[in-house]
Amino acid sequence: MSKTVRVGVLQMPSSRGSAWRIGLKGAARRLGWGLVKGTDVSLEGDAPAQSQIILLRDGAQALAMAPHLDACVVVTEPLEDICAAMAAHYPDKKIKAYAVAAERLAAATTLARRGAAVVQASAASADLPLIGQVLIQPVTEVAPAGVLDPAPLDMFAGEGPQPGHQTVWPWDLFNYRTTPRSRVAPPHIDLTGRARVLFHGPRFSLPAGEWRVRLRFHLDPEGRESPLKFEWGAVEDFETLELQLDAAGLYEVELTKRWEQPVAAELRVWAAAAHFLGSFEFVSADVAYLAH
Amino acid sequence: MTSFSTEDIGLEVSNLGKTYARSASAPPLFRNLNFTVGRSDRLAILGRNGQGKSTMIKILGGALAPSEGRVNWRMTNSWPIGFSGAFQGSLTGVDNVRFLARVYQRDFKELMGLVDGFAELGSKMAMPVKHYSSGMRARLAFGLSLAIDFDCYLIDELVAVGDARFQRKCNEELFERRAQRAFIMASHDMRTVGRVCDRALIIEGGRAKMFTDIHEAIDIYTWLRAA
Repeated sequence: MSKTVRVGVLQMPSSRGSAWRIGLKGAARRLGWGLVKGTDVSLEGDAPAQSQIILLRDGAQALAMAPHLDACVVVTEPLEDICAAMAAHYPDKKIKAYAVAAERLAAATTLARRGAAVVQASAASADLPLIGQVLIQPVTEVAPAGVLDPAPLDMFAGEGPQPGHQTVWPWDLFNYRTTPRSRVAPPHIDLTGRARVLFHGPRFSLPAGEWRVRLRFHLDPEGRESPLKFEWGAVEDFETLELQLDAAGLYEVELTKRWEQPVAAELRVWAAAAHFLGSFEFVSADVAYLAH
Repeated sequence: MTSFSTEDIGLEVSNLGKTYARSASAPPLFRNLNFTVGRSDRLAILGRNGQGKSTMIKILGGALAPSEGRVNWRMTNSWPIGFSGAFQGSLTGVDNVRFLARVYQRDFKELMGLVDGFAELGSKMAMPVKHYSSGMRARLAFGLSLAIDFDCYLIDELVAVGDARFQRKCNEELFERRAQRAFIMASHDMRTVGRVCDRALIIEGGRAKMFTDIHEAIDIYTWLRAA
């Protein structure tokens, strides 16, 4: 009996997702393999009785299963098309749409760096490792229900994050302790109150490497010292900067952090102590990929 | 700020400001202060030394005039408890009680019994008040404040009155037996403030802010004291 194999396929959000699943189903039938969902696969025990094409559900599952696979394939699309597919899938949930797209894209970048085959979803056919030729039926494109500006994820455009690339993260990607009154302008945050997080986010996945965030803000401590804390990282591993500012003005802070696995990266800004007076206004934030 | 229906409002403070005219350029202690106090509200006035807490209590109690603005009481208010400025020093404690019984139209014997029972001054009540220690004056003032039923009690640093046993007695009389009355209390004692108050006004550097979360106000005040 010949050795069975497992080939994982991670699809980026795409309007051609169904066409690819049909194509992979045809290839599996031709080869006498199984086509299974990642959630139905157990990595415990012996090799499967039948070779498998495994449809990986998301980035986390793909990264967890990748070491156990014989080959891995990333089916991708131009960033604009991924964002359009996400807008259709998550209408009126912009941050969720970005977060899901980023999670897949960061995993795809990681898999590609580890040698996964990367194929374009728009191709009529593709030659996949261990599987061979897969034919993709043309499908009628469904117009997306909404629009998602790809700019906050533009580090993933083309070949993926390149050192020196800088991406702007607008104010409305962040979560504020109080709901901003305006949807078109950054909130004016009254610092009066307890020590607390002022805003945080966006928790978009970024692949391994050295990443810098730069935040510009306007502060008016109204003549007192304003203790602020800035954190950049994920989960419980953050680079931290603490400042005591006592003059009104426009400030810029930078934090650089390296991580070895894709993480849902987050910038957190805190009032580090109770404030009696003062105001804080978000001006801009950008994130830059510095090095692999 | 807490909102009350008009009939629930017992005190309305509008555009209140105070500047001690030490010089032409003297900064205001506070200004543009607006707030209301409900008929069962318990308001703490917090601030570091010299920021204007006692001044605020005195203005509310009518013992000091504001530089600007208006204090409009719609409920009866005590004089500042712990403030004994209203006593006539040449009169005895008994005569001061008699005088206040006339001012507030109370029965003297009944009032005297209540004051004497609470202040525990005994025969000292027959001495002129100018010979009282500050503690004795405070006991008399406190006893009188509690003997006359007010809708709102103004309290300036309760801990300053008497020993621990007497303070316990004051606490019981004020905060337990008069639980439905309003209080405005200036204090550095955050345990008491946290226990009995439900709002706080913090005065700092000429600015004043109202906090509806008493524990948030305590956090901020604690930080101000430590800064």
